Amino acid sequence: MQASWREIPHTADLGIEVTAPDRAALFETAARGMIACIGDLSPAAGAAAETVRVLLAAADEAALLRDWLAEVLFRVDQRRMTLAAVNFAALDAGRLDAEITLVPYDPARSVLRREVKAVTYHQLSVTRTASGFTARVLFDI
Amino acid sequence: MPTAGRVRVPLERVDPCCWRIPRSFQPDMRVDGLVFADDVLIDAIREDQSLLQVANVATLPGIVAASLAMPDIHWGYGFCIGGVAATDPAAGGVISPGGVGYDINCGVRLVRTDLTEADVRPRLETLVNELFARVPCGVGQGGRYKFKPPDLRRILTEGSPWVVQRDIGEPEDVEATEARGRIDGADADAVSDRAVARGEDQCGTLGSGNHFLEVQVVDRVLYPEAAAAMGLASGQITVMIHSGSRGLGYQVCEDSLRDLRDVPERLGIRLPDRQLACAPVDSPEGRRYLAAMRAAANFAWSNRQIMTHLAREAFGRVFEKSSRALGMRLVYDVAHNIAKMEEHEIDGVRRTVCVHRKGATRAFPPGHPDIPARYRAIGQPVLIPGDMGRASWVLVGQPGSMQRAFGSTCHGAGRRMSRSAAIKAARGRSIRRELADRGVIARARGRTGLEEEQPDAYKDVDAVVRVVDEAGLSRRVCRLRPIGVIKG
Repeated sequence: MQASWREIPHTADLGIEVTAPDRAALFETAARGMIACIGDLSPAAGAAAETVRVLLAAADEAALLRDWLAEVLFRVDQRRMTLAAVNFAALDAGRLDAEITLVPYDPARSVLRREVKAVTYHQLSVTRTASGFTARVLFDI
Repeated sequence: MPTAGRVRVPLERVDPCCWRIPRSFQPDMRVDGLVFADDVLIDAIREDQSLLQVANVATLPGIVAASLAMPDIHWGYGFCIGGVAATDPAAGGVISPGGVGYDINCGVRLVRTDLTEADVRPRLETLVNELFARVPCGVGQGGRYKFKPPDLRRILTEGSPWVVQRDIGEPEDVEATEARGRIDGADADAVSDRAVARGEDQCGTLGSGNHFLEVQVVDRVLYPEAAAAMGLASGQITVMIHSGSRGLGYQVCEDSLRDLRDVPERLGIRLPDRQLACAPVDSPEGRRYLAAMRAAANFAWSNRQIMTHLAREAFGRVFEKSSRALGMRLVYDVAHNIAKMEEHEIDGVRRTVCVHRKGATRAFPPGHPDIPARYRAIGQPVLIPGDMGRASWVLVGQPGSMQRAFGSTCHGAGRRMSRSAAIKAARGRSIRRELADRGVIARARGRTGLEEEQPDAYKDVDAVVRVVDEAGLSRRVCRLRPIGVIKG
């Protein structure tokens, strides 16, 4: 099974449903899906990459996924960067330790769609399935 | 009994413009839900999950009278968009960041001009291009004004009056802004470094989504005395700006929801949706959120103030006159995502309550002391953005708003189509060309902005404002037809 995501409709906002064979793929694919809602962000030529460590703990898996996406969103929005690579050193149902590599995107070479304001808690879910994981997340647009 | 889509929310008719969701629908509901809508709008409202959200809000501790929804109600996250809820701090009433939304003090302002459509039409394309070049909009667009941390702190605590003192605006702009552009009790220290970082170059930027700047024409006047008090007459050009607190406000809400998310469980508050996380108004978490939310609200008023200045510059350049010579006076500025402590009469007793307006506009009636002297005889101006093809409206608050809705009315047309459905419906069409055929010149930065925000994605704003007028919440003054649009 390949990890994938698809948009799910919401009257005013936008959501994604993500399926993945394992938790790491779920978290990485959700982040890439969220960024794709913002746009197809092309890295700026010759721009220096930045690697940061992200440490998170949450009471449950859905909250952990939401916090992770909020963490990525902050960097994409505030630093105008996109995700180049993710490496999870540890990831379980309540704790995440990751190194993420970000690169500035070039607005002129990117297809910008819309601003994602936030990752909401509304109808947030992570469920285990026979073949892996499924998650649903709604974004405020 | 009529029901709401798949969630089967019961609705009882109260009058031709109002429906009740009885408290008996869910055991945790503390008050009824009341929805202002006519027969046509209620059918559209039943299509999504917003009625269930009205019922969910009715479970919040300390909620008084009813969980209210305006005719532009649609499915939000936690609260519905178009919702009003008042909680009484003296009765354990809570504040919920979800009842304000991520875009704290998202709101609308309207500038009138002495120009007519005949003056503008020949230069409309130049004007729209000039506005598009001057007013930063869209994903990742920084502002023309950069504020150093000490100055940003002053924006957070002092709001738009501080911006106006820097010659970014006219002194009279302050008087024509809700709360005079500065809400008391804001604390810059309650705003996180992350929020400041997200907002530091965004004061004076439009953003994306449903935010816009429009050049409009007054095309119908229904209440001439009120229109005259606002300096509006048929055929005249106006400028409407719809935006909020940008990344700073989003991060304040994000931080607060994380701060508050364990509070309900600790206090034994059962919530039907995590997005309704809340804390008593009189609690450290509640006070912290209020202090940060107020700072973000002040940022939003400053944001709209700077864009007003940029729009005046654009008009000045295109028409080769100063904005004063063009009569570009601010009519009013209203917030439609905010929580405020206000005094209201509930069951014959005056109480200070925390009024959450999530996609709802304050609409104080004539004579209310909190509205500018020049509008006291007609009521507070209310600005209702519609869609970019049809219309927006100017209303004034009426006594019914105080009696029925904690001094509130609707905030827009309300979406009827999801973003994905709107993009699908636009396939093979050029929304930009369709708008041009209707006489509207539109510019958008984002690839899908015009498709997602196309007129058909929205309910008919004329129908929405007719309901709030008939329900006695606010009275229609004039209809504004768009001719130029810039979007993120």
